[in-house]
Amino acid sequence: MTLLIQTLIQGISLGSIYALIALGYTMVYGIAKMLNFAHGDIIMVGAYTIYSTIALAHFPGWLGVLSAVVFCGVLGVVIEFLAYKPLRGAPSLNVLITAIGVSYLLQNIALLIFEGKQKAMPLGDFDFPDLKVGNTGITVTGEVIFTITLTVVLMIALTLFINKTKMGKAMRAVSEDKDAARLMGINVNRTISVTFAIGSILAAFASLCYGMSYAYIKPTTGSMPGIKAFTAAVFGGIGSIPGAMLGGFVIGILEKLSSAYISTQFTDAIVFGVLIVMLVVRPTGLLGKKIREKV
Amino acid sequence: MKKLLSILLAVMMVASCAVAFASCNGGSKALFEKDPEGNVVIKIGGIGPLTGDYASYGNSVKNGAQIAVDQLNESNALEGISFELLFEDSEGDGTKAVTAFGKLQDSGMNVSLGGVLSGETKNIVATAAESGILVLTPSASAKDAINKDNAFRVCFNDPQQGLYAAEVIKEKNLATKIALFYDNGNDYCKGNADTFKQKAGELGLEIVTEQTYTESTNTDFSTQITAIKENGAELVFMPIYYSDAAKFLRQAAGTLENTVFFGVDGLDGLIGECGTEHAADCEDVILLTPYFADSVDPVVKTFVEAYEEKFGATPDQFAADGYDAVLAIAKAIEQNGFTAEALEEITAEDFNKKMVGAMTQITVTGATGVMTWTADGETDKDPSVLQIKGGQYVEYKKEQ
Repeated sequence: MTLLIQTLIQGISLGSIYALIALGYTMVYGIAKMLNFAHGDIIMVGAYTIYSTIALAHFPGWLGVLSAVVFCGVLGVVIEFLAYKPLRGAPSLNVLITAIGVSYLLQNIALLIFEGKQKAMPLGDFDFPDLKVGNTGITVTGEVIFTITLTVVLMIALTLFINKTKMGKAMRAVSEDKDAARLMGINVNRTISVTFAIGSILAAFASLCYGMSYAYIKPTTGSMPGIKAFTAAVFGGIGSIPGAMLGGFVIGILEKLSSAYISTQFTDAIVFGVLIVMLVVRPTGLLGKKIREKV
Repeated sequence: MKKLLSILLAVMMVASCAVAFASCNGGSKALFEKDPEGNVVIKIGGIGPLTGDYASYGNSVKNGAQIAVDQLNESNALEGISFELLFEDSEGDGTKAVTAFGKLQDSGMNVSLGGVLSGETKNIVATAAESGILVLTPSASAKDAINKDNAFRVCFNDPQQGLYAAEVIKEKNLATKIALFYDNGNDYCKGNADTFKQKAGELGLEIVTEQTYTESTNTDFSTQITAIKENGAELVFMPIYYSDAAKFLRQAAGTLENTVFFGVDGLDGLIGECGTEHAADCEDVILLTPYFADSVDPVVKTFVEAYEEKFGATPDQFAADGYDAVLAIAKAIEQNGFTAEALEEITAEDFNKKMVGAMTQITVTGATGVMTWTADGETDKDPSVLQIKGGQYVEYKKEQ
């Protein structure tokens, strides 16, 4: 029983990180109708930004996080402007290949600047006390509590933003029908830029959580969480924001359960296997919109 | 006319005989050169990566060996005999290593240091078997890297440390319930874990759980940590490399509080990896390693001092292995009682045979401990049990 509860807690924590990243995938897909495969590497960029500000420039921890949030947000917009905007209207395959190219570009820039050796994340300011639940033997680490709390807060904020603000309304409109939204006077380009910025900011927060949990980073740090988060987005129904959140948690818990009860070696096979089953049974994902065929 | 032809043939025969004779004798063109002081020079040929990804290993071995050569020459340890180190860059490539071996043979190499990496050493050993030259690799640790009679090594072979670890844990009574944690896809890690398991079984140590990961799943260890805790392990034996160990220890902090962490020489480098940021993580970790630079042993001290003076860096394990390899070669010459005069007479075949023969008879006190060798080329030495205390390696002492 202790093992089950401990595993579930770890799963929710891991799932939170996936959910934060998956939100970026799903929002960009919903609005720009493209798969931004460079999104996972934004986490890596965020992590190195935190590392540089705190460990190299000796700024306090909160400033490190703030600079990561700002830098990733701006980077997201810049990448969109330089790499994806010129391809608007091009076949989706071209955009996909470009995104993979951007992903490799980011990884190699990081490799050039920081070299391949792993770096310790200087997150001493974010060392929260562990919570021991009575004498059950269950330990909830400070990082886990922080990660889950942060994710919940960000999700509430995002939901409010989408539903209550004008920009949120514009995003929903563009996602619904880009051309109609343009005719209604919505600045589609700006809406897409904002979407990239928000997605990248969430990734910057994910990099903080990642750094706290796993402590060491290297230039390829973002790729595996990126792929898992993409799986989560597809699992939840790509384009759907609640779907990405749900998908993230499901994938995280599934991963932890399978590694605790089946095998740490087969975890990835099991997770991706479930994705395949999902796509066969319900191609639009858990909360995905049904696509009506126009006849 | 006939007469002329027969004379011509006779001349040709004599000439070809002379050529044949010359070529027979050509092999024994002085086996050893002499230095300006008239000493017989033993040429030691080393091969290893001096550039590329593994450059630090090759350079360490080369520098360590050079220190030994310098010391032997300065102290004139063997009368009338001096040493010279020739070192070729292999870039870590097995094919280039064989080419380098040929080049060294042309330069008159008398003893080979094999290669630095296991792969290249394997190729060199295969080539060297033809001439029977003594090959003593400082650092090639793969089991099958020295699979010929004339090949020996200074370092432990990969799985050997697992055996020692089990013995030390039993002897020092560190724990009875042990968890294994290692990279299942790495030969070094798996080899050590396997031999440890076998030896632990013989010694009556209980392995309560075996947790593994692979290169693609070396980020999140929380499942393994939970399992180790659940099974009540008192000690985690982790024959892994320091970069993974640093991640594991970080995640285990807070959960595995009263557990002893025990590793082998792959953990050398852990202190630097944890840095100041996570220094607390590696505190109290115990590791088994044949060499450490802070040792008070006089041999290690002289070596470290000489090395630091000449190269401005603290010698690592590879440097110590290179140093010891040269010491062993000098000892083998001494064992044979070779004098300068005797060496001038000897043939290459004889010299090689005698050098190989001496390897199993000598005892060498080097920077990596007191070594003897078995006929299959493996060394037998006691590794030191070290513990990390206050960011330093100190000799392990049981807490009262």
